[in-house]
Amino acid sequence: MSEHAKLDFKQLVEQYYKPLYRFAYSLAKNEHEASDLTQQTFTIYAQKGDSLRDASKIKSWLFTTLYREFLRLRRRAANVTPQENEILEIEAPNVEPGVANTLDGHTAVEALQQVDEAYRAPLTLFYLKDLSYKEIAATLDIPIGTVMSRLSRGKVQLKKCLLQRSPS
Amino acid sequence: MTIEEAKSILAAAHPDGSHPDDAEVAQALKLAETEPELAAWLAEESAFDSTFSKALESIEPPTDLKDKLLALEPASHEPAQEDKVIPMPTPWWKSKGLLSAAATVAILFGFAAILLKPTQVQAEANLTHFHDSVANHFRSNPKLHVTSDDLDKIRSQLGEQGQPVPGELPPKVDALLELGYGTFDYQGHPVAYISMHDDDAYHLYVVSQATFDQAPSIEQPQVVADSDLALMTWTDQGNLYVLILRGNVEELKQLL
Repeated sequence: MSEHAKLDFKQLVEQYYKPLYRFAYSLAKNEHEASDLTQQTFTIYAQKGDSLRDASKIKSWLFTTLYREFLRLRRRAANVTPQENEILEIEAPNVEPGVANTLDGHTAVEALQQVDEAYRAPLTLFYLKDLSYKEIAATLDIPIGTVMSRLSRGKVQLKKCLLQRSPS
Repeated sequence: MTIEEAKSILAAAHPDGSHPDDAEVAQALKLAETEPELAAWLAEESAFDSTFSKALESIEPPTDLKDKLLALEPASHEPAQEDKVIPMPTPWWKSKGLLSAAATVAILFGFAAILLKPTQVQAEANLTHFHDSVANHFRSNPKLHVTSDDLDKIRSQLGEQGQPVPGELPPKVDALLELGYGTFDYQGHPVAYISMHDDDAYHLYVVSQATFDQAPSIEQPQVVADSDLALMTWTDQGNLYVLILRGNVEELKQLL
């Protein structure tokens, strides 16, 4: 039995189920689907976790698995490949403190949903703060430079979305 | 480092100290100490990031989710004492003494050319040539023709294309996550390769044993090193499998 198999399943659930659920909810914007994705992630871990030999990589593995499950379900639902749109505006608009201070979780997820799909996952993982940008790159299987540019561009879109939501 | 480069790095980092070991982040933060424009940008960015993070962290899962997850904990599968055991032919990954057998095979391999019959010598030569081919293929970082994380779908598509189809795999190999597959020709015969990973990257090569005029038959796996690669080879149900990892043989043996 590998070292990893000896890790406490309950401890893993305790430590990661909330950030995983939040990641799933931000992707799916649906409580039911987010719960399913989180359960599916731990189901796969229960089946395949024994093959993981580096305990330090479990966190990234869990986020990767959840993201792959999300993409798999999306592909099944609609045969659409996410496209990364070109953004001409690079400078992020200023978001007034009043706008930001009225943010709650659901408003944040609503805003993330308006961001291009290619930016949504890296942005969400960034704001959940569980993974460094290098770990985000590994989780999403994209180069580090791509993560940085997607975060930069994604933040521009996110701030624009929040400004558009602002009544003023 | 320019101000724009520093912005790009800090926009992707957590300047609150969540990842203090990153040298580039440290360098960008140091620049912010001497560049007022960058410092002002960073203050605004950090305030927004912090607010947005708190908003996301306020999302709470359904109250029953944790219990549902805990119920997924794998149960122990120790066989009950009263269970009857029916003797059946077992593939190598279900047999006892596997590691010692694999080691023995590796040692005996060196004596094979002297001790084996001519057909067996030819079979070993065929295997060595195939090993060299797939090792070179693996080192070339080949692109996948199709990306898929569904092994059954990969099997189905390979079958439709008349390519070698992997059968039942050893449990720990089956447990690896698939990324996709590709195919190529080896001496006019099709070879399929499936990219897999856990925290390492693997390629599983599958070829029909009928490809070889003297087919290697390896019921117990051979684990051998080839420079920076480790290769595990076995045959089952008419296929020859080679699993390759960039690493040492001990890492591969953990999949036995």
